[in-house]
Amino acid sequence: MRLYKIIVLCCCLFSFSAFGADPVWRYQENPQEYDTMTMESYEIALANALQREKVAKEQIAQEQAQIEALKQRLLDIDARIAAVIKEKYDILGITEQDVIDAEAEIASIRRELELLLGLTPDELLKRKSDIDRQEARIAALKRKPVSYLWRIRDQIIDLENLLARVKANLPDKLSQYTVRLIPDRRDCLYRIAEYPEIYSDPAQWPKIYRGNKSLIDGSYDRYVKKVPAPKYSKAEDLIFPGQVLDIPR
Amino acid sequence: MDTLRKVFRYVVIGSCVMAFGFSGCTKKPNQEELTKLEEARSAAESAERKLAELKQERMSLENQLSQKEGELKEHEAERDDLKEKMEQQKK
Repeated sequence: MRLYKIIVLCCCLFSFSAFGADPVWRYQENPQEYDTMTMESYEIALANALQREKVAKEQIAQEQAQIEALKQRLLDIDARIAAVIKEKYDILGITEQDVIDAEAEIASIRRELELLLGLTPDELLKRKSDIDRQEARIAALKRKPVSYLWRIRDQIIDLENLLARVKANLPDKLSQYTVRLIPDRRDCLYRIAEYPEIYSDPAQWPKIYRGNKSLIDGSYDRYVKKVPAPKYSKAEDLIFPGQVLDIPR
Repeated sequence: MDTLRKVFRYVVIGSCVMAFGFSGCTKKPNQEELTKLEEARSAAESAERKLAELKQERMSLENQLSQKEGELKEHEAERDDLKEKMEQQKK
């Protein structure tokens, strides 16, 4: 009977200690750890955590010192860059405003050229004066001391490439011709048709006349009304300097 | 028979004592100690996080510095080139 009592008592003690009430506090991350944690493993874990914190804090101090040093070096290098830029401007005798102006001019020329690049060859031909104007602007920019700066120089090279692309879009033959005043060799439809950029063939002059009949006939009518004894009997024999003739293709 | 009963009794008692000793009676950290451990761990993690951030910042600054050094070299080379060109023009 005593033996049973002892066995029952032992079982009760065992159950109480091993499967007792849930602990009040548990780890959120690893609750099992708490269940199995002994005092010894607790002390190891605590020492480990404290050591980790200590090492991290030491490294933080080192990192902060390095960061401060780097920030200082960045400030120094910024000051050196500013000084070298000023030296460059002094060498060229320019100011920062000149650079700003040059860049604004470059941006403006680029916009114009990009616009021209989007035109058809015939439209482009009508805007030939715009192309020439942009070319002149580039040339003027190249003459300025600011163009020696690498940044500006590279942008001018880009503009020149863009201009070359625009020019490459121009048609080989003209689609319009402005009658010129040439003292020794007066422009007429026959001679205009003979020009290489027109037809390279004088016999094709009637094409020009047919393409510009109303313009040529109109000016001839006005001429006949003004002049009592007209020298020219046919409208196609008389064209005037400054008249812009369409060249049919 | 008595001897056998005695042996049986000792075996049972011994087993109970061993079970008691190995399982329930081992000393465990109390709530306060566990809170302390938790705090120590979170402090370590916080410090490690801050360290990682600082390392990131340092690397970013090193990159910036490297870029600026390149920029400075380029400006110096350009300055020397301009000097040379201007001197040639004067001659």
